[in-house]
Amino acid sequence: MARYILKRLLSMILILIAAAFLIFTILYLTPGEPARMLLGGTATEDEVRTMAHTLGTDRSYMEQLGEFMINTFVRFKFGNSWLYKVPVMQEMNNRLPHTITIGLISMILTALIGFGLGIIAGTHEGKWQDSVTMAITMLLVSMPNFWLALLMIILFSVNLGWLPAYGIDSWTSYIMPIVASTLGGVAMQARQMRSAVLDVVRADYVTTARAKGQTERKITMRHILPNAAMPAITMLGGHLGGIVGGSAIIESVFSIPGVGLYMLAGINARDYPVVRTCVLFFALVSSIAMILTDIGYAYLDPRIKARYTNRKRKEEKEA
Amino acid sequence: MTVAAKPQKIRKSSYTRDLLERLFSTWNARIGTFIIVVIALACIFADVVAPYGYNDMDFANMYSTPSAQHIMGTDNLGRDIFSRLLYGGRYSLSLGLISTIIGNLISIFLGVLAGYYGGKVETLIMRFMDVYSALPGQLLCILVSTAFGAGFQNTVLALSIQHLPGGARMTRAQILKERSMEYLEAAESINCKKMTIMFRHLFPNVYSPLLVGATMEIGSNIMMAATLSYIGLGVQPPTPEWGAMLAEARAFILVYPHMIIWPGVFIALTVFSLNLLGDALRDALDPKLRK
Repeated sequence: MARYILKRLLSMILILIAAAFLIFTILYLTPGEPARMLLGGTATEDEVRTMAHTLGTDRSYMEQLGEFMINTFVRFKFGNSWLYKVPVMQEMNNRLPHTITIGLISMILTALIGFGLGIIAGTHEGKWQDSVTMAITMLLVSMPNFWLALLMIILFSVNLGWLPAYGIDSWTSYIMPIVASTLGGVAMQARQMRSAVLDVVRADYVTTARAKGQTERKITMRHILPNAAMPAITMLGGHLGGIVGGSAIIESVFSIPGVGLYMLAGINARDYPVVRTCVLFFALVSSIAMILTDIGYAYLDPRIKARYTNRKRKEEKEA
Repeated sequence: MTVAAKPQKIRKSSYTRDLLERLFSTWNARIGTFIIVVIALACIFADVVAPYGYNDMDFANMYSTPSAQHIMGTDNLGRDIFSRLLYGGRYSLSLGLISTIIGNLISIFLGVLAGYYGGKVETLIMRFMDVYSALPGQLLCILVSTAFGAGFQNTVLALSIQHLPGGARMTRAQILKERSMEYLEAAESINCKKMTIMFRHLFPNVYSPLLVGATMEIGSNIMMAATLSYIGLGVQPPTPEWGAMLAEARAFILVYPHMIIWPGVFIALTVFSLNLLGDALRDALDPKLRK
């Protein structure tokens, strides 16, 4: 198992390097000179050239890429914001708690509620629990999450006045952003879990367990759940990545001073160090989520476990 | 005089016909098709259906809530929201459709190539896709559309590119399942052209899950396009694209919520109907469920 985790961690480093390369290249190809954008329309050619030289944007692609890669992965330096001249990490430290709180709670809720609803729907096929869950999740899958967030603001902030519509004041400010970034993933996860449950619910081992007189509860928890969870868990990583990718939009709807909003501001101002750092952060979080789901999968799937624990024994035998 | 017996019409039971019959025997498919056809027709014939033009301003009736005169109310410039939604649907629907078609054409081509040739071609394509998918899809879409800039065509491009890694991977996985079939060996032994083998023999056998995916993807691309427009990276106001309308309405959320509600309802209805249809299509194509 340790070998497997090690292998996954190595692949995570590769993913991060790929992400850094990707974000650098996309920003490099973005039209518009950053120096000119930062200085505004009134700047002279000379000023723009001096600025480009200080920022280093007048150098070749390979030079810039090399420096960025070395700074990021060797020196762990993320540079200063071009616009505000303060270290990006300093600003990130203020913003991380908001984004991580929302992201983490949303991910846990997505996994738990998604699996739970899927099991309930799948084990009650054709009954009201099934139809109600399927109808609601189908609706939720079809709504853009930022619109859902806006609707919640209309209902809970404007009409009922229960929850704050903007910013972060107290813990109540977290409720709507978390719900908004959870619902879509929950709905998709529940639908996939349901079809996974339906695939195993008529399996012979379930019938055997029932024939032995096992309680329905135990059948669900011990026989159906682990087998149905395997295909559903492979999808989970994608939904968790979706939460990370969507956090910029949710933060923009609720004006939450988090990493996502920082990234959008950086995009608008052509503040590339900010954008790069935020994107790398998101790539890191999503790859951690992926790895955790992969490990969860390996834990459930004895074949993967066996492949990594028995290798030594097999090698000895072959020798 | 003998009457020649009328030749009995033989009921064709082609695969497509059988499929369509199975598909439209379900209410999901019927409802989904109905909604999407109604919305699409209303948007295509917006000139006839819409009561007002998309930029007709009625300064006597600004911010009006739904009434007999303006069934979904008017916005901050007194423009009829219902009419704008119908005209805007042309942008939203074609964004979803065109980007899905382009994205799928490219990803299918790459996926088939990778799956059929294997070896170096496969490694090259798939590693490239791995790099591509190092970032979560939505994030990649935001960044790519930053690089391309706002506007209709650039949004189409950004949405198509976002689809590539997932699409190519899925196509390749389907091709690999078919790779060892006898008909491929037969085609190869009579020296068919590679392109013919790939796209006349191989592809028709694997298209069905891709078709289901594409149906639902039209919906998710419409949502993503609206999201991009909402954060100012997609289609820009005053173009009445649904997401752009939401972006405009955002400023008035505290006072005039009806401006927020209707564009979202149109998006949700469209995506909902496409999802219903896609779900039904998956069931109809599933050989396990076929009688």
